[in-house]
Amino acid sequence: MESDILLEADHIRKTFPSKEGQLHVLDDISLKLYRKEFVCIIGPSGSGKSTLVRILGGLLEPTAGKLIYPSGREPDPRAIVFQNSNLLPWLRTAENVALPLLIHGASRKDALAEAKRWLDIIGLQDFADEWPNNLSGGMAQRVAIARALIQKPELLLMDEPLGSLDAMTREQISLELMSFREQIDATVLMVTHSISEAILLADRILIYSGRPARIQEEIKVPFPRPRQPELRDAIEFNAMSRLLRKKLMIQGQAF
Amino acid sequence: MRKDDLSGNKFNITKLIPPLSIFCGLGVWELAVRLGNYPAFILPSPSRIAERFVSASRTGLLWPHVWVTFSEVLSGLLIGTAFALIAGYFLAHSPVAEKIIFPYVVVSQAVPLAAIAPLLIIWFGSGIRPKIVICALTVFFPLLINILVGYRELEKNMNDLFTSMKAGRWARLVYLEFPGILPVLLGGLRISATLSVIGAVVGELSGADAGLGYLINIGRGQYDTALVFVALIMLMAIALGLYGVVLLLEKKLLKWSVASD
Repeated sequence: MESDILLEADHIRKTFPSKEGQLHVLDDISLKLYRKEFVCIIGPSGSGKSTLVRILGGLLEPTAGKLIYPSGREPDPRAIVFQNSNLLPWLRTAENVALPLLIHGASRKDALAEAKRWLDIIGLQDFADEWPNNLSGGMAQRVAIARALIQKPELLLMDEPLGSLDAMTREQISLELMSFREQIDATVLMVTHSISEAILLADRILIYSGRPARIQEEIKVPFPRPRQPELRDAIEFNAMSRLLRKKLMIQGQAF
Repeated sequence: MRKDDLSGNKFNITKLIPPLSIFCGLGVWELAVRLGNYPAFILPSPSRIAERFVSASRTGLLWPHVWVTFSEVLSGLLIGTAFALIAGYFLAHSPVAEKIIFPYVVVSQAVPLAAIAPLLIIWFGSGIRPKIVICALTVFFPLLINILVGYRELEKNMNDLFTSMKAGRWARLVYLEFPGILPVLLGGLRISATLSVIGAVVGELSGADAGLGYLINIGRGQYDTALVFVALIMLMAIALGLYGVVLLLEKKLLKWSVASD
């Protein structure tokens, strides 16, 4: 089973210098990500989840502890979907999706063709030539997700990708994510605030506690995949969300 | 978009106001000179200036000087912009270099241009070169500051995005940095275009054998005030022309920023 581990975070700590000395953002985080699993991290805001994502994404060095890659090589590519869509406003929608390919020297024609294929998948084919400023928040975030998926990531990190969206759009996109989930080979780690999102999408849910942050508990989601949207109406689903809510409430978090 | 279409299709009287205002202003000027009977070497009338323009064009006096000043301004502008871009790139990527260079940038802002023009003429002679240097200097520092501001405003998240995509320096420059600073760069260029004209004239006034500044000196010396005005108007035309070109560039290159409906 060891070889099934894509990445292991080993006693990661992160402190930032601040005016009052050291700000401990992450305190002793250990976790394992298995190949092709979907893991959700759920926990209060401001608890350093973004910092964790950035460390796992290789954007930030931990203060102590290390990332271990049992296969001996780093997951490549590692794609990150940020809280805000981070589209480049000076590139048209299709160019934004094509960006990772363009950066690595793909021909413009091929890159755009592949981008259009992804725009089809996310249902935005009519917006290929639109400027990002003209997209709604939900569309922009879909485009950002397509931009991550076009890289065929080995590891996909999502930092509250739906956090800034309204409830309806959010539900819509989480259902879409569920269907992508079956189409891609990536290992996915997603930070979220939504219990139902986590249960719907994840194989495992890590419950995260406030500052300094630790992983409090790990919960396996027993529902088989592929999952259907109707799962949300099932008694087991509701039981599971009650359980999660209770666990989060023990930590003094309102959900 | 819709609003523009409406005003474009319908006859809009407010569009006539600015040219009408200029026309009336010239009329008042003409009238004042004629009624007040001012001698032409004090204040020539617009019609006299127009006549002088025609005669100076015909005798071949005017256009060579216009060309000299224009080429000084344009070369200075291009050279200053190129250096500002290169310097901006390195300063933005090296905090230490920025700390070393920045005091000079600040001090340079306090140097009166007219005061260093004679120095440059001592160093580079009275030809076209010192003027190009002056123009380039006038353009360089404000643009450099704009570029650095532009870099600072590039969102950290976007940098993270490029890092996560393992983008090389070149890809970063082409897809992130250059388009990202383009709005402030063009904003700076709009101002610099006019500043550059001032630079060229200041240089020419303090020692030159050609150019519109030189022509102004000649006109002054010969009490040919109409010629001074002709030169002035040419300078304004150059400045406005360059300004217009930058506006056009903005319209063309920054479509994305006005895209929102």
